Amino acid sequence: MLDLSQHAPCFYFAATDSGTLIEVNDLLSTHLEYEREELLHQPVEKIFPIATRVFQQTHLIPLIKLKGSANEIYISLQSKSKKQIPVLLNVVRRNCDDQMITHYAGIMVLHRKKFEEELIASRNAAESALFENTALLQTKKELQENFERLDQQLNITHKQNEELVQFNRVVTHDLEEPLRKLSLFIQLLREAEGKESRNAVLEKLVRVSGQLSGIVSGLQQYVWVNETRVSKRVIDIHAILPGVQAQLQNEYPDAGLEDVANSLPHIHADSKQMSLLFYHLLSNAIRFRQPGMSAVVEISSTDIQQNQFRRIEGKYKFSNFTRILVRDNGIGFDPQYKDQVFELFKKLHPVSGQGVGLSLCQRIMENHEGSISITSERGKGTTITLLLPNASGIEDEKAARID
Amino acid sequence: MPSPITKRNNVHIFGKGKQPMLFAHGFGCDQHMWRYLTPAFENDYKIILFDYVGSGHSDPAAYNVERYSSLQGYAMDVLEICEELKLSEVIFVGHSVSSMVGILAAIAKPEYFQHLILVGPSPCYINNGEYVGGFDRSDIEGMLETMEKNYIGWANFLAPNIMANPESPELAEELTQSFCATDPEIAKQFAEATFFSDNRHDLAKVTTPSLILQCSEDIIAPIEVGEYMRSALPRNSYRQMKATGHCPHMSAPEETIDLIKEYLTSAG
Repeated sequence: MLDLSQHAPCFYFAATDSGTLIEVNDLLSTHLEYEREELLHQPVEKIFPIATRVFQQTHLIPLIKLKGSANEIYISLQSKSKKQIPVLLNVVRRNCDDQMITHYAGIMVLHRKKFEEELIASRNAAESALFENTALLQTKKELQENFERLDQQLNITHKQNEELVQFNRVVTHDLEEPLRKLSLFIQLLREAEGKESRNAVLEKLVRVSGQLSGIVSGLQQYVWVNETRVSKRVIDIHAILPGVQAQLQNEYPDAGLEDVANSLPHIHADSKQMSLLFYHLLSNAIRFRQPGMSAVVEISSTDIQQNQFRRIEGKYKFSNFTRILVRDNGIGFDPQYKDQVFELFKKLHPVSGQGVGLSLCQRIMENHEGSISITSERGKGTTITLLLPNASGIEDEKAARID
Repeated sequence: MPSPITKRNNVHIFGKGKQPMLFAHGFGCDQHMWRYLTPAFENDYKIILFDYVGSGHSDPAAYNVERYSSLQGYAMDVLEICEELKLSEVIFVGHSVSSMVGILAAIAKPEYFQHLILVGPSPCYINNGEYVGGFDRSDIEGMLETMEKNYIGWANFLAPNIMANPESPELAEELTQSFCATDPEIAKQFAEATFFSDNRHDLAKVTTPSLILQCSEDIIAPIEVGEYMRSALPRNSYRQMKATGHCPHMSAPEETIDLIKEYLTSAG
C-alpha cells in the first residue's frame, strides 16, 4: 500500500526508548540534507544541535517518560551542513508491537522565529541600554560595597552588644560575689578568736582574693585582645604551634600533649593573637583530657565556600574560607552548653580555669572576620571549628575570571 | 502547619523507615522525577523529596538571583532542609547537577551525611586542557543563547503541559501542573550555574563515602567524566550502568534501584 503519510506537509520522525531513529519522512530528510537510509538506525541526537540534546536529556525525556506526551515544544533540528531548523513539535510515546516508540511530528517555524528574534533584539537593546548606563553600574557597585561594610558593622555592633551584656554580668555578679565574700571574711576575721580560726579565715581570704585577681587578669587579657590593633600578615600555622606547645609543656609537664597537625594552609592573620588562640585551645584539650590518658589533638583544614554576609538577609556573596578543625580526645561536655561556653567567665568545669579562654578565642576570630563554633559529646571529645576568610581568596577569584 | 523551609522547598516526607533518604532533582525537573525509585525504599527509609527554589512547586518569592547564581546557593537549600528537619546520617541521592550540590553540602557540613549517591555526576561540563567534560565552552554559550532566544518557546513549553493528560490518569493533576514548570529566566540562570560550574578542586575535600552511577552513552556526563570522578573523589564506589542517556532513574529504575541497594547493603 502506498504510504501517503510520507508526503504529509509536516516533519515526522520516530525513535525507540534507547534513542535510535526508526522512521524519518521525506520532507524531514530532505530538509536535513540526508538520505533517509543515512538516518535510519542512527541515534536521534544526529539531527539535534547541542542545545536540543541538552534540552532533550534534561526536559523532554523526563516529561515524556512521566506524561507520555508533550505538545508545542519549540526546538531546533540540525541539518547535515549544520544549518539549524526551528521547529514546533508534538511528541507522543506509545506502545507499538511491545516496544515503546516516541513519535515526533513538527512544523518549521522560520517566520515565527524571525519575529521572535526581532522582539528579543529590541528587548536586549533596551536592557543593555539600561545595563551599560555607567552611572547606574557605579551606583550598583557602591551599593554592593556599602552592603558589605554594613554587614560587617552590624556584625560588630551585634558582638559589642553581647559583650556589654557579658561585662554587665561580670561586674554585677562575677565580681560582686567574691567582693561580698571578702567583706564577710574580714568581718569573720575581726570576730575570730584564737590563732587557728584566724588562720582558717585568712586562708579563705587568700583564696577569694586569688579568684578576684584571676577575674581581673582575665578581663585584662580580654581588653588587650579588644584594644590591640590587629596586624594581619600571611602566617604559617605550623610555624606558630611549636612555641605554643613549648609554653604548655612548661605549664603542664605531665600532660603528654600529642598533636597531629595535618598539612595546614597559610592564613592571613595576626600571629600573636593566633598564638594566644591556639594556646587556649590546646590548653583546654590538656586540662579536660581523659583521666590517665594523654591529650591527643588533631588539627586539619579544608577550603570551603560560604556566604560572606552574616547579618543582612537576602544578600549573598560566596567567598572562600579556610575551615580549621581542632579535635581532641578529652572528656567533652553536654552539647546543650555549646553556646554558653563562649560567654565570659562561664565555666562548666568547677575547678580548672577562669572561663576566659573561649571568650578570648571568639573575640580573636571576630577580629579576623572569622567565626568559632564547638561541638562536643560527653566522653568522646570536643571539636572546635574555626572559619577564616581565605588568604588566597582574592587571587583565586582573579584566576577564575581570567580562566 | 508547615515550617517556612519545608514550604519554601515544597518538602514531602513519607516512608516507614527512620534513616533519611534525601532525593535532590536535577536541572530541568522537580521531585516527581523520583517516583520510579522511591517505592523501592519507602519501607526501609524516611523518604524526603523537595524542589529547589525556582523549580517545581517551590515558593517563587524565595528566589534570589545572587544566591542561586552559584551551586553554593542550591547547596544551602539542602543544608537548610537538613537543619530544619534535624536530619543526620542522611543518604543523599542527587541526579546530575545535584550530585555536585550534594558534594558541596557534604563538604560544608559532613556531619549531616552518611552516603552520597551520585547519579550521572559531572564536576565540570566544559573541556579544559587534558580534561574532557563533554562540551566546548562555545557549545554551552550556544545553548544558553538558544535558551535566551527561545524564551517565548521555553515559556510555551510550560503552558500546554498544564492540560490534564487523559492517557495517564494515574498521574496526579499536581504533577502535570508542576513538572518542568520553571520560569524561563530562572531556568537560564540554573543552566548557567550548572554548566559553567567547575568543582573539580572540591572533589578531594569530600570525606563522605559515595556511589557513582555512570550511564552508558550519556552526552551530559560522558564516560570520561565518570572516570575522572572515579579517580578524583575519595571513598567512592563506581558502577557503570547498562542504562543509556542521562536519566537512568526514569529510563531504567530497576537497575538503578538494584545498584543503590547493593551499595547500601555492602556499605552497611
